[in-house]
Amino acid sequence: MVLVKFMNLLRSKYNIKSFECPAKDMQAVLEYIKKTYPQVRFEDLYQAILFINQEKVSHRKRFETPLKPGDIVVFTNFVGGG
Amino acid sequence: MDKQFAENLGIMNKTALSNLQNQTVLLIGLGGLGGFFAQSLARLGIKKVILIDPDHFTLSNLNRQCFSHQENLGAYKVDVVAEALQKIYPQLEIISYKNRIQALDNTLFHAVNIIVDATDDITTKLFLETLSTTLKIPLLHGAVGGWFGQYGLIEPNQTVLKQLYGSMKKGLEKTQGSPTFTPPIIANLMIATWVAYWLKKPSFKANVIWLFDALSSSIDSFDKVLFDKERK
Repeated sequence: MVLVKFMNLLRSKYNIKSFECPAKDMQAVLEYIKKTYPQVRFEDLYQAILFINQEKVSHRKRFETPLKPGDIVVFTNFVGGG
Repeated sequence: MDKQFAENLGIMNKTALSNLQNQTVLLIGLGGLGGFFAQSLARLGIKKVILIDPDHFTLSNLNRQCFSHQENLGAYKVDVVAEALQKIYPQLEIISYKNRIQALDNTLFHAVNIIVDATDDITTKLFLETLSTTLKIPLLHGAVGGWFGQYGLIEPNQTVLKQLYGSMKKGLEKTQGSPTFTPPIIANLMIATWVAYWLKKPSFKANVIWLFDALSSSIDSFDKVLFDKERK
């Protein structure tokens, strides 16, 4: 199982803090979210900053990243206003 | 000790407060965050501040920016804020520049003890992180967007903001705007962080970005480890 955490915008907007899901890659995480939490807009996930095991994953194919049991996936956002 | 600041002595002794007041603060940005931060500097009794902001107050600032009023729309923010701070603490020495900080010479900041990032421009935030290393002084970071804010004290030679923002040009503020209540919360969490750092409180952590969520009344930390590696 993989632990998925939502922080700030995603957590508050969808009232989801974290969940576990069986996933061998990030694509499987997205499929799980689509099936289990249909209210989550994918646009919000794509705009979020993605961390896997405390590493920022920013490349274009980030949603194809392979996962293994015990991995921690974090979706978050940052702000830049003053 | 001036009676004006006596209520601050509940959390620190006279020597600590006096030493804190002798710090010179470089504050960049006098918008939502910077106005409230500047006000708190005066109420702490800080003796010298350098204010930098090239902008004027506009109508869209009125929902959140401290010191903006119907009567001063169009005025330079540095002028309005300087006048307001001296009404709070007349002995406060203020140097102000109506420029972007990138246009100013670093030698102007040789006596500064801390840089405060209250700007709304990510490119400038990254510039300030580099300036922190150049001047060998800490950077107090703050940012807001919608219900959310972030803040933290970053030591010289760190690249926390560079790794956090990467190539981002805008954060959640692009779609969430800047409501009335978030800037004063973050501005005062920033100043509390600086005071905790100055007092060497055991609970203080440098190089940590704290993520504040007003919608769920929560604060999460992204610790230094999180930014140590980036998969490209």
